Order: sequence, then C-alpha cells, then structure tokens
Amino acid sequence: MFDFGPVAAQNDPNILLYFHTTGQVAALVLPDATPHDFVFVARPGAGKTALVKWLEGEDHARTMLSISPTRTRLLMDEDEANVEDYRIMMRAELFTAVVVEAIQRGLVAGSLARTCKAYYTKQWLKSVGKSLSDKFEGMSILGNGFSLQQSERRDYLREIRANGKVEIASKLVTQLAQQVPLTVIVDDPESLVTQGLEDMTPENAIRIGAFLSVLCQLHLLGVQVMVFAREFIVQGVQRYYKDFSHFGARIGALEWTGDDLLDVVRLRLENRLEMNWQDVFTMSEATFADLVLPCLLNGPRDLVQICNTAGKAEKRISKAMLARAIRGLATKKWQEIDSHYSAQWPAIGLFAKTACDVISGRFKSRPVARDKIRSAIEKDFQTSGRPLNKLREREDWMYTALWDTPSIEERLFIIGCLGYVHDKSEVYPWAGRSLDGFQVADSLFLTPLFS
Amino acid sequence: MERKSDGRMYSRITRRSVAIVGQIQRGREYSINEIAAAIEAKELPEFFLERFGKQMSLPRIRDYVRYLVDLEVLSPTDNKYILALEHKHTDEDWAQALSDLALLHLAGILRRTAAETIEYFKALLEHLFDERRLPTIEALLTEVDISGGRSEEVFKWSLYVFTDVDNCPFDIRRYPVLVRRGE
Repeated sequence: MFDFGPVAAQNDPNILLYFHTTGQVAALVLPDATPHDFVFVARPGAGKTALVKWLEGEDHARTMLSISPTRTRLLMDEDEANVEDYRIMMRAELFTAVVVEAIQRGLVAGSLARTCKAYYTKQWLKSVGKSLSDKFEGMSILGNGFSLQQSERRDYLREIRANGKVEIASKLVTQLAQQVPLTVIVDDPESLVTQGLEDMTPENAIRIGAFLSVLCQLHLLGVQVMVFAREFIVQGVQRYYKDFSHFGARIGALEWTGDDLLDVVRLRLENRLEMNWQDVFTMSEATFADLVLPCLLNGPRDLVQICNTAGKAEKRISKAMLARAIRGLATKKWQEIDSHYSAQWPAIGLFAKTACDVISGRFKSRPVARDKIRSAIEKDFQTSGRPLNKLREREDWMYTALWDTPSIEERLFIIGCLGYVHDKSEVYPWAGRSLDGFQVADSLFLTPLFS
Repeated sequence: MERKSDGRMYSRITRRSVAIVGQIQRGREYSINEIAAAIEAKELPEFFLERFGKQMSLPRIRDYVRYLVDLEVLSPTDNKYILALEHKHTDEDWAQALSDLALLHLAGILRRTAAETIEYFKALLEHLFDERRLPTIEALLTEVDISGGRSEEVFKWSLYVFTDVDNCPFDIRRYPVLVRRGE
C-alpha cells in the first residue's frame, strides 16, 4: 500500500516536507517581484492551504505579514455607514498596521523608522486613544483586529478625515515598500470582514469588495499583496460590489503546469514514501502524465487522491488501477462541485452534468469550436423537452442562464468542466483561472474526466 | 397552435405571433406592410375578430408585425426585415422561443438583465401582496410606470408571451393576475 499523504493540506502536519514551489509561486516571492495580480483565486484543492502554510512558515527573501482570521477581524457595526466610510476606515487601519508591524519587527531604521514611530505614537494612538485606548495601546493591530461600535466609529472617522491620516499612512507605506520587500498575505478575505454565518450575502459581498479595493491600493503603493480567495467569493463580489472593475483586472489564479504536478508526486515519493518511481508505478512518468493529468480538475488534491486510491492494493500501481481511481474521482467530483458552488448557483452539479452530457453527446472528438458548443447548448436550452430545457424550471438562475454573466460556458470553465485551447495547446482547468484566456479562445474541450 | 399541456389555449398574442412567422419565408426580405398585407390576404383564423365577426384591419395587423420587430424575431436589413428565428417543429418550441425573446424584451424595457428581471417580478409580487393588492397586469403597469399607448400594449403582450410556457417561473391567471408558478 502506498500512502501519498492526506489529500487536504490542513490535515497534513508534514506538508512542508514535500511542498512543491510552482514556477508562479517562486516568481512571487522574489525580492524584486512586482506582480500585476494581487488576488489569486484558488480552486478547491489547488494547493491554497499548503501554499499559505509555506509562505507563513518558511524564510523568504520578502518579509511576510499575514492577516489571518485566527488573530484579526476588521469589522464595523453597521448602521448608516456607507461604503466609503468603510473603505476609509480600513485604509487607515491596514496601512497603519503595516507601518506598526514594520516598526515592531525592526524592518526599518534611521529617519524613516523615527517618522513611522512618530506617526504611530503621536497621531494614530492619539486618535484611537480618544475612542478605545484601552483596547489598543501597545498592541499589534494585525494581531487584534479592529472593531468599532457605532458611537466610536463616528468620532474615529471624523478624526481620520480631519488629520489626513490615510494620506500620511499611504506616504509612509510607499516609503517602507521602497526600503523593504514586504508581502501582505490574506487567506480567505471573507473571514476577516463578513458578519453572520453566511459568507455571501449582498452586504457581506460589499464588505469584501471594499476590503479588496483597499488591499489593491496597498498593492499599488508597492507592498505586494497576495489574497487567496475562493471562486464563489469573487463571483459574489463581482455581482454586488459596484466598483469591482477597480480591481477586477488584477485577479489571477493559482497556476499549475504538468511538470509542477509531476513534481508533487516525485516529492512525495522521495520525502514521504522514500521510494523511487519504479518502486511504486509500473509505467513511466510520461505515461502517467498522459493518463492522469488530463483527468484532473483542480490539480494537486485530485492527483494525490487518485494516487492514494490506486495505491491501496498491495502491489505496484498499474495503468488499470489508475483508470479505476479516475472513474471513482469523476463520481465524487459532481458532489464536490455541488458542495463548493451551490451556494452561488443552486444545483449547479446537476446543471453542469446535463450540459456536459449535451456536449459529449453532440461532439465525439475534441477540441470543439466555441460557437458550436454555444449553439448546441442554446438549442438544448430552448427546445422543449430537451434535458437542459427541462431543468430551466428547477432554479431561477437556470431559467436565464443562457443570457447571464458568467455565461454557461464560463460557468463550466470556472467549476472545472471545460478547458480551452491556447497556442494549439490544451489548457486544463487546473492550469489556472484565466477567464480572459477562456473568453478569447476559439476552441474549447470537455475535461476528459467528464467526457 | 394547439393547446398548452395544461389544456389552456396559448395567449392570443403568442398565437398571432406564430401565425405571422409561419407566413414568412426564411432568407427573404420583407417590409412591414408586405407582411401585414400577406396576413390580411390569407384571412387567418388567428386574426378573425369573433366579437365583430370580421378580419382584423390592416393597420392593426401592422401593430402585431411591428411587435415582432421589437422582439427581434424580425431583424432589420436596410429598409426591410428578415426572419431571425429558426423554424420550430412544435408549438412548445415556438412558444419557448418567443417566451425567451419576450423575457429579453421585458428586460430591455426595465433596463435589467434577464436574471434581474425575474428577481424584479418576484420582488414586485411580494411588494403588492405586502400592500394587500392583487398583482393584476394593471397594478404591474402602475408599478413599472408604464401607461397608455403602444408602450403599454407591448409590455402587456410580452408579459403574456413570456408566461406562455410551462417552465416559466410565472403564470398569468384569470382577472388577469401575475403569479409565481407552483405557489
């Protein structure tokens, strides 16, 4: 039996022993990295948790400031506060937090250090002291979060506006970023700013949108920001936050290549199982890659799951055993898609499965011209009695899905059912989330797991 | 057109729209007058006015043809129009195709997306019920601030065409009132 390790990184205390740094991540942690994107959408199982553990847990050429929900909350008890109030408050807090962390960690020296300290003690603490000095004095903002009651908030906002604290903090952050390569890491932004048990209410989407907007400003000031977010959160913000376009073009995804994924297996063989490839698999790496990688949806988690399932027998893993594991994965995936995306699109698994059946029933080879796929879906959607048409009455979103944004094909791409062709190469769902790339591609294909 | 699956007849506007489309050849260009004249000449039962015992007038038929331009069933080419809808094999398919176009037409009038239009109608029904008012077509027109003339007529027509399929989230019942299907 070959155990490649827990499929979920949060259950794996040894994950850093065999953590694989993708090319994308290696470039992000370079001291002179100036990435365009600051939000990285991660499919479930795309390695987000492991990556955050690695960023927080290892030494890097950049100084990492992690804002996590276990230590921080950025909340404001709402009443008549508008979005701009919320943004101003968060800008003041977040930018000041970066300045304070830099002082506390001794990252800056000389006149800038003195200016930062003066700002913190004479201006920020003074204004905070008026409303909640007992909560904040001598504490780290990032370590305690920031929560204001209605009466406190009014005074505090007035103080921030009157003394131009946001402008001062922005200037200091810019100077800091020029001296020290800083990275602010935010995992699951919704966990820091939402209220209530449900993440994606319209109000919470606006809170998250305002938070992302402020983080984008921080990123543009030169402090690298890495926000790791789930797809439905980004979709919700896009739907409800009217200034989404201010940062929408800076949303990317965790990206994987075939070599990266093979490295995931190689590293586990080497550092966990302490075995060679030939001791575990009956086929070559190239044959393994051809058979398994096209069938993955989300990348590393699917890969480890297939290897673990196939590795349960008391013998080396053969092609037939991998094929059986892949079939098992397909069944689980529909349930997984439902559990991950149904808050946003109820019964999406059923709808997507039906759409995939329409595509696979109509086209036997891949890839297929985008227009042909669109037309096949359109026809099934609008012809009474056809499977997609029958589904329309099930959910309101399904009734209008043909004309909505994202389109049906984009939704299928987002949840991992469709890939696209770029430069004559097939781009699988696990490779990333380039909606732009998907939108301009002429040819699409159904992921082999579902065809 | 035959009856709907629940035994009710399709609305007059749906039947008349399908009758007009049935007289148009694909790929051929027509003026509105040419289509209206052809319909009048055919003396189709859909355009026979029982109450007056006679066929509909040419100007009135023209209104129905123009509505198909609004729905984008007929698309303009220079000064003429061509059929932009593929031929359908069953009444249900005609009704579905027209219903979808009517939804988009309503969405355009209300300056919303199709999905937002559905949400808007749901909210509107709740609002009227909260105020203990029946969601009659007239009440809806008041709420959306459309009154009189052609804009009122085409809004009403599109509501009827939109709700004329079994899977539509809404239905129009007697009086007439708009209701959520299945509630």
